[in-house]
Amino acid sequence: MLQPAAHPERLPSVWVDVLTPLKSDFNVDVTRLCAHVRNLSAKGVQRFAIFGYAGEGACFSNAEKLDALAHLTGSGIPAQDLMLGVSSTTMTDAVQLIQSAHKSGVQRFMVAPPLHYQPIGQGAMLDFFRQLIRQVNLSPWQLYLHQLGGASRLDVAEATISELRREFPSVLAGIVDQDIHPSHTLDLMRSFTPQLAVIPTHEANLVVLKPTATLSALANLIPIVIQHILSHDTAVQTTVMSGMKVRKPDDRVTELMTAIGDQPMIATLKLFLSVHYHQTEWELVRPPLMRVSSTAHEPLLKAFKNFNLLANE
Amino acid sequence: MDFQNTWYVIERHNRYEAVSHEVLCTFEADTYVMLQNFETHHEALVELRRLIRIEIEETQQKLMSNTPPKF
Repeated sequence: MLQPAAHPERLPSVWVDVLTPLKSDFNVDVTRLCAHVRNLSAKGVQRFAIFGYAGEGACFSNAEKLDALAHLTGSGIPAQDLMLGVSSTTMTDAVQLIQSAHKSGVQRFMVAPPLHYQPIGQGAMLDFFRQLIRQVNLSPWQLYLHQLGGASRLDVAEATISELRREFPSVLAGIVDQDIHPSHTLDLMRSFTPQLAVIPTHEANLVVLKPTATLSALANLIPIVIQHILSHDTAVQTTVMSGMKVRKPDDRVTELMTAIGDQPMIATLKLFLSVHYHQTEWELVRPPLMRVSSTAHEPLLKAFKNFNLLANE
Repeated sequence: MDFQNTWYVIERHNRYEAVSHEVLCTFEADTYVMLQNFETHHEALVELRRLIRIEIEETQQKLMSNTPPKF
């Protein structure tokens, strides 16, 4: 059941930032997408963000997103367990996507600020979201501001968020923070919790931040580990030998991040999933996203083998 | 989602297996890696066959590359 925006801290914990599988023609492979979400669901994950940051959301049209959504709900994934990424340069497209997806039962939307030729001022940003919310004009629905991180220069300023919260308390439910710096997320938490859910995405910061919810790209591979971190469990290993170091969940996150190294994260996670599922098609990313370079391919495969994905992760 | 009547393809003791949800529940948590979940036994078996075929091909390639050249 959808939680009221007034109690966002009760938002269920791990949202997987679902990777989007592609066919050789770079169209969405909806069959593989449904299977992946189903597999994650079988591992105990219940919440899925589709076409977010890891889902290459900015690379897909409204029609493609709605088609994938229809397949997911048709395959038995409850629409109320989905959050849809909205990253459009035009307001009309964003409004149309939200309204269409809402008809399928989706009520949570992660909306990124629009891209423009020039940096967008906060007054214009406020206008964009204000108009968007008014034009969507649905009930009930929840908007999560997708903060893309300091480097993108697209962050919605705290004053703008406060104003939106004041004007639309039943719609604005939270902030998904893509920034890798824990201090950035911490500032948002200090300013807006418990009125808004502040959802970090950088798994390495979870132990420090102790959030009630996270949006995790690594959860495509290690969903149970991420769940353990969020519930503050100390160990995921059930078999412990004397003298052997017991790896904590956050150690496994560090190990996976080390395996990824400085390679493009989305492409690398897809490469790892292709190994896990034994499906080479999973490697594909949609241009303009960067693929894993041919020189990095073999070392990454070796690193993932050494990572040794365990049964209970 | 309800997984009661579904099927899983797992890797256990270095072997692929297709097992029902009921059987999977009897396994110790860290003795297998769950690869995929399927609605029907047939789908699970199709995937199992695909994985075994890949293993056979990879093993063949390994053997070929280890075979000394004939003179």
